[in-house]
Amino acid sequence: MPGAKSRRHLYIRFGSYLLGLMLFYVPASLFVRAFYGVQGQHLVGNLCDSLNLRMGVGGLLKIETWQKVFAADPRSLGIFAVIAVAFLFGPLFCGWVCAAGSLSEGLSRLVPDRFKIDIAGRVNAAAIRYGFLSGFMILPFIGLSAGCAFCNFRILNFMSLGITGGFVPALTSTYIVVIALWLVLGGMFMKGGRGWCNFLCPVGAIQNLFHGLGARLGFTYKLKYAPEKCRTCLNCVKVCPMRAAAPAAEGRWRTANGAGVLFNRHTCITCNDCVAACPHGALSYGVGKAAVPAPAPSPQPAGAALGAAAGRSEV
Amino acid sequence: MRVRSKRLAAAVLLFVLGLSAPVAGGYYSKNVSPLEGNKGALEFPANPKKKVQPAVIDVAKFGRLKRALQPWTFRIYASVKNKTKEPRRVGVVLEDCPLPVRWHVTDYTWDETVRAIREPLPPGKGFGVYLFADVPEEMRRRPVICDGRLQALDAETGAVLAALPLRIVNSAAGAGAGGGSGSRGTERGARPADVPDGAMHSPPVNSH
Repeated sequence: MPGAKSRRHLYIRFGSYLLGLMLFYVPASLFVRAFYGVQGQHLVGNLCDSLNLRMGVGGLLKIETWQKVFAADPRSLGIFAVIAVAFLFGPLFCGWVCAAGSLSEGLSRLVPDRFKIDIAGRVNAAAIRYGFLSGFMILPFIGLSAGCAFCNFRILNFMSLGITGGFVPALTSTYIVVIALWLVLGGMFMKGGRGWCNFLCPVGAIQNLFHGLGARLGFTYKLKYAPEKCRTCLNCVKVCPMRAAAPAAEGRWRTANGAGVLFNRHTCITCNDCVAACPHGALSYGVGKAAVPAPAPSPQPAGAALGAAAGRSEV
Repeated sequence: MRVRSKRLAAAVLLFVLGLSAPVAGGYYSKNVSPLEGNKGALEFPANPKKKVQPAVIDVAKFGRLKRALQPWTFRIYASVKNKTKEPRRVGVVLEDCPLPVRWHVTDYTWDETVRAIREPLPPGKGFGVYLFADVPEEMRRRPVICDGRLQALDAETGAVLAALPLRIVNSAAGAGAGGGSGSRGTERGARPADVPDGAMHSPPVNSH
């Protein structure tokens, strides 16, 4: 029964995020403790204190970053580890570990759909997020930084600190902007609750960039679509938190029933919610070809146009 | 063909929009962030040639959003670093700054009751101290809310290892008090007149 399968999947994913929270945020911050423990220190901290993700992305075009990598500075390796995982297995960090992304997604589930906007489902989200990534990476060269001042990982750490300590942490104006965009506008009032992830997270964007490349290779893991099994029930479209799935137009796929679905691997976080929601087994996660192309006899692939209009490509 | 051109134009426009967002954010942060929180270093042994810059916060210069939502709370961060060649058990205290402060110390051996770490800090290593402070109602109209210092101490001997001057001012409350240059409210280290003796040291609260 797909409902039960979906629910079970959601529980597992929730558990995974909870583990992410315990690994990378105070008070537990187990990963940070272990990370510094092997270096003889007794530190707790947040995600960026160990993996240095946002600043890591911001520094990818700088020579100093690469010098640190060659000097095997442990903190500089975090972003490369996340990118390597994304290349081989998809953006699993976003889909299974990032508690910050899951928080906004969870908040979105509390608000009825009629109060939510659906920007990612209507515009080319990939263009915006890659634009944001490019801007983020050139900031150091124009003497600016948006790494820590707009860091939702850090804010989540302070929130966790405040909740466990029973106080309201001091915020800055930039943090207030982040909370408004991440949890309110991009979370509670956006379909899927991943507005921040979709448009304003450089860590997610760089993972999808490499996932987009990796998914073209046969030996990497990716979301796979079997059009001949698809009945165009659109359950996958409804459950996708990133709005990466969209109905295809007639003629794109030769499906069992209906026009099929297009997936955008530049926004897909391989959370596999769609796989769990598919009652017909048309979706899976694994190695091999992303989709078995079965082009319809129609000469004009109108569905491709629809998918491309929203930055989608067939998986 | 026309549809494809439109799509391409839209994608370019959205890309530029996305690109401009972090640039705008970077400028905003550059203007606002230094006014709303401060950070400093408590490194020992102190370099005698290097003058320690005080950490100054002017609550009247907070950004609009902060003034609207959290005008009387702020955060200060100090990094403590052992630059000697021997491990030291380090304590950190806030002196002459009678504000309610929540401490978060990133060394998990921190003991809030004695305000010191339980395990010695190895040479070359450090930890961070976050102070989340509230300005009480009765202190908000003072030109100088606090003129104290954050000190790193040797937890065994009590000797001061390093100090970071800390000034919290409200330039809107009185002329000549803002910006951190020259205090007319209280001299550094002096106790503000209407603060009871018992409040001179920030009370121990939570640590995490």
